[in-house]
Amino acid sequence: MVDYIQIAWQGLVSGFAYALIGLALVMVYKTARILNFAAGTMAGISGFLAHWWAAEQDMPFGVAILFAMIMTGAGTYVVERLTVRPLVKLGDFLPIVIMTLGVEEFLANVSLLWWGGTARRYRVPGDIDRINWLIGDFRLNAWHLVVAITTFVTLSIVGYIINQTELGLGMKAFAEDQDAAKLMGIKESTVSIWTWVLSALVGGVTGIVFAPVLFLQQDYMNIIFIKGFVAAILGGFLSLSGGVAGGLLLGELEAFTIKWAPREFAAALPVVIVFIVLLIRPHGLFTREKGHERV
Amino acid sequence: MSGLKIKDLKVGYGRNEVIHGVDIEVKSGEKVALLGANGAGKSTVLKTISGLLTPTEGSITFNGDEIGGANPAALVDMGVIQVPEGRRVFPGLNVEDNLKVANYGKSPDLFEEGLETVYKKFPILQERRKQAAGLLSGGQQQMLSLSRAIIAKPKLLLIDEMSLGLAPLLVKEFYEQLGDLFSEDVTLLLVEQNAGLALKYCSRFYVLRNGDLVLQSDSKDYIDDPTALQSAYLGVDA
Repeated sequence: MVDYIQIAWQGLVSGFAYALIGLALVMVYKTARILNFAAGTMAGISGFLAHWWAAEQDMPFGVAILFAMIMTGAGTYVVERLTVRPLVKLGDFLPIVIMTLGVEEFLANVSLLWWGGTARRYRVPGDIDRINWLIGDFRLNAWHLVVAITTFVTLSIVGYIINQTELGLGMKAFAEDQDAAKLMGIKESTVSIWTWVLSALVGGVTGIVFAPVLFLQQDYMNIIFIKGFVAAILGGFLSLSGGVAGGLLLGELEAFTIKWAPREFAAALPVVIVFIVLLIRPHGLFTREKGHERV
Repeated sequence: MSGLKIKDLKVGYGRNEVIHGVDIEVKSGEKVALLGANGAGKSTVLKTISGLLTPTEGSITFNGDEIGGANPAALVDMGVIQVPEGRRVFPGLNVEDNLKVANYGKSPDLFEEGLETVYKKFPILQERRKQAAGLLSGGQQQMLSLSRAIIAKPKLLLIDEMSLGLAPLLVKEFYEQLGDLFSEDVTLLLVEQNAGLALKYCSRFYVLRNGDLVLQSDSKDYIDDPTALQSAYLGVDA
């Protein structure tokens, strides 16, 4: 029994990463109809900055995280204005998506130049990633607890912004009907840029909090990005909560597949899931098909 | 020069020109209808005034300011408000959030005030204020769409085809209510296929056919026999 709880918890922790990246992807897609292929690499740079500043530049851990988040926000602001905005006017989906791929390549190479290609493991304050508590036979890693709390707090903040603020209302209106939202006086460029920044901050938190779990390597967030993508597809790509639920589900599936199936199969699992979901429920597992228009 | 003045307007989608040089004038406080058959380009004209489309040529001025190609949000700030074709409520947002969107970027006090007015005119919206707008009936969605415009406090109101997809009796009611919903000095340009209804409410009208104006006149000349407009609509002698 404890065995299963252990596996479920393990799955949940990886699920948190997929859920957060899934959320970041859906957010931008839903409001701006843009697939951001740079999301994983951007998140990786946030993680690198925070841990590098803390471990190698002797910055206090909290300050390093704060700086990394500010850099993420400001950097994303510049990236959106410089690369995405000029293309939005063309009104075409593909050029923007290809542009985000270009941004991804650029950022990946910049971070490769900066930090090199070797994997590192930076220490976190108090070495809490090495503390393990035993509750009966259940092993709880202290950093995993930090991951869980951070995920919960991040989701709550995003939920608050979406449901309680004017920006959130604008995001929702835009997601539902872009032209109608414009006619209500909502500025497209304002909503778009803050959605990008919010999405990048969610990604940044993920990058920072998961760096000690994974090894910090130039492309360490790529695999999380791919699984976040699967999470978003599971949720139908248009539902924020669907993306989160999809991430958690994927984490669990993966954890239990490793338990019962050959390890090699677990690596292929995300692709298999995408395949099956697209075949039988292309609109996602949690969203209903678009209803008929009322007259 | 106050009011709306459109001069030699040309608009298109991509390389496809849809409006081939149109002149329309609506004086401050005047109610004018833009009539025409399906596909004549009526909605394209409205979308250009409200900033969703950019003119390829010509000018649009409102109270003397050039507004052709301006950002829709900037136009909303100037009081240019459009009630879009097909109502276009946000189906997933509840009724109150739909109304809140119409107050975007403005003070919450103003919103409370507007909300009170709207709920007084359409009590059913207050009753269903927590319901998703997509679950409302077509008529209620039209109420919501008009209510958004009330909250936005228009100076120039553009209404696109209120009769689309609604029962004729219901449409008639909406037209009868219009004068009560918006203040007398609101300038109105109304797009409609159903000439009989529009003529009763507007003092003048234009008829658009295939992107060109083919007729303009006072409503009183046609109000007794709107069917006389058929030839103008269709370009044949009916």
